[in-house]
Amino acid sequence: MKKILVVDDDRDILEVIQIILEDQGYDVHITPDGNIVERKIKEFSPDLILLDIWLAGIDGQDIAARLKKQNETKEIPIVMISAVNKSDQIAQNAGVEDFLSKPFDMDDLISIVAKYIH
Amino acid sequence: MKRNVALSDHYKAFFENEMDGIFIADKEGKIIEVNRSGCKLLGFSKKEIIGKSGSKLARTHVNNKEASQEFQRKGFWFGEVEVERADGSVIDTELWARRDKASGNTYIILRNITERKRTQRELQKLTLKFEEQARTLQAILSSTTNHIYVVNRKGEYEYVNKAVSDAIGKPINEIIGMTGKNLGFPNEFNETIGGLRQKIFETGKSYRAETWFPTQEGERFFEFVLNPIKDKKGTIVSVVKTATDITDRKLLEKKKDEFLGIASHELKTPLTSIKGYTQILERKFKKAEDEESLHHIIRVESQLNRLTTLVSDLLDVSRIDTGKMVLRREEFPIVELIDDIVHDFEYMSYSHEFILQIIDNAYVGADKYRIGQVLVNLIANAIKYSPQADKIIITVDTDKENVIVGVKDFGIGIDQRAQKKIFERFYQMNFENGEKFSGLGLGLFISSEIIERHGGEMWVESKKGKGSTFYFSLPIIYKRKEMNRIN
Repeated sequence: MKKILVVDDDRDILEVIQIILEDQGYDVHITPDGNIVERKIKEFSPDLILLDIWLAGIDGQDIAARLKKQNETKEIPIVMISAVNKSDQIAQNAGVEDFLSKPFDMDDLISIVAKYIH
Repeated sequence: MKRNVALSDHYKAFFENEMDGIFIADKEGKIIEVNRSGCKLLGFSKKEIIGKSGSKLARTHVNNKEASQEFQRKGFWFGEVEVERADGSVIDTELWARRDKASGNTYIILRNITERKRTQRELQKLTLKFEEQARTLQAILSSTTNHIYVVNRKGEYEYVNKAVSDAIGKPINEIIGMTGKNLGFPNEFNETIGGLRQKIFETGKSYRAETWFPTQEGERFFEFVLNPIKDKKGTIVSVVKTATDITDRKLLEKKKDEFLGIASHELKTPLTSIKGYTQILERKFKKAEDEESLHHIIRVESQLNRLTTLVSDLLDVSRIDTGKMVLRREEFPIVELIDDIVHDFEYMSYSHEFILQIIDNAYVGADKYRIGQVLVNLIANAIKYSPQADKIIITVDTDKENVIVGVKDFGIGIDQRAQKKIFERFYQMNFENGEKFSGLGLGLFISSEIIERHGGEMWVESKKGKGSTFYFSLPIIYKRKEMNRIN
């Protein structure tokens, strides 16, 4: 079963994403805490990371940029999910694979995930 | 009458035809000869003049005592004299007098300079007026807080006002003749503004630029407007630059941007989870074949989409205002996008049938998301304003340079007056029967801005009560042969 790590400080959004993606047959792990992303990756070794940009206390862009620099994590595709304006530019700056603007349609979420997990 | 002076014919002709008045007086000061001009000048006949004393004949308004003393001493006098003529009028003259030592006669030449004097006086008046205007202008230029510079082709300042002098902390005379480089202005400023100055000498056009500039009060943000100064022939001789301090406005804009950024995030975050839960419920009801609940939840979703659009519209307007709407262009056939969007509408709308009439197709280089937004806006409007109708026709055609898309409805229509205003922001139609349609009045404003940013145009054809057709054009990137077969 393909594994997805979802990082977002809004617990409702985490739940929504979890329900939708689990229904698609993915193994979904969620965390609202941006500070423990690296630990979660070690424990869980996800095939894809969905990452919010504005996280409580920490910048998702920084996390993404760090993950893309480290050898152990740089191969994992990251999709940034955000309600921030210009999230496309932020995603590009952070060097991640893709982005999805909030609010999104369920179908858009499903198809963007499918694009990076085969 | 006996003549003391005999004139040869040549001299006589010359004497009589001279423009100036010529008088010859004897030792006692009595006039013994006068030419025609002399008579005309004083307004007396020759008879009346000959034998009379010059000073009695024509009263002069000159300080006679001093002048005659000088004449007695030197035997020569030259000066300007006001002369009263026979009819009492006063003329300005130039008087030249010389005593001939041998004969003791005095030769006098009198020239009418009334006209010259009048011109001189007028010129003086005009000069005074100019001086006054210059003083007023100077006062205006000194009192404005805008920086005003006049700069020549070499980049040297020919004029600066007090505001410039105050801002850079140097007296005006130390700035005149200097260049921005000499004065130690930042390189970036010299390049931007100096570059525009050179451009003006080439093109003769006006330019605008915004840049930071160091002043005595620290770095300030200025808006520069540059205009050519031309001479009478239309040749550009210099450039006038005016700079307005817009630092406060800039900071306010920045604050507004930050606020909108936060507002956008805070509004969209709950929308995201509501939308997610709604779609999860929709799926559940579908599975359970609970038609009633499904109907309700679809309505919730539809209203939610409306709310999302309103939030996005507000943010878009702010982006348009601050020039921050960035287009991400890609090449795609326009019909492909229209197909997708019409398909979505067919799925959502129960009331209208969508008829696609594709006469021609072409590739456009456009922001797919933004053009999609325009199409959604036009089609949603067509549905909204034709509640009684059952179809909407979407046409795609090309002319030499553009793709032209039309969205035609058979609804309430728009009268001539409203057609002019319909693309303005916050414009909402007023209906005679007091009927109101919801919305912020932003959709068409945003749509037309998007199309214009793409180099296209948007317009409307409509008749009240008959329906409307909204058109937009987009520049064609290229066409392919097989495209015509898409139809």
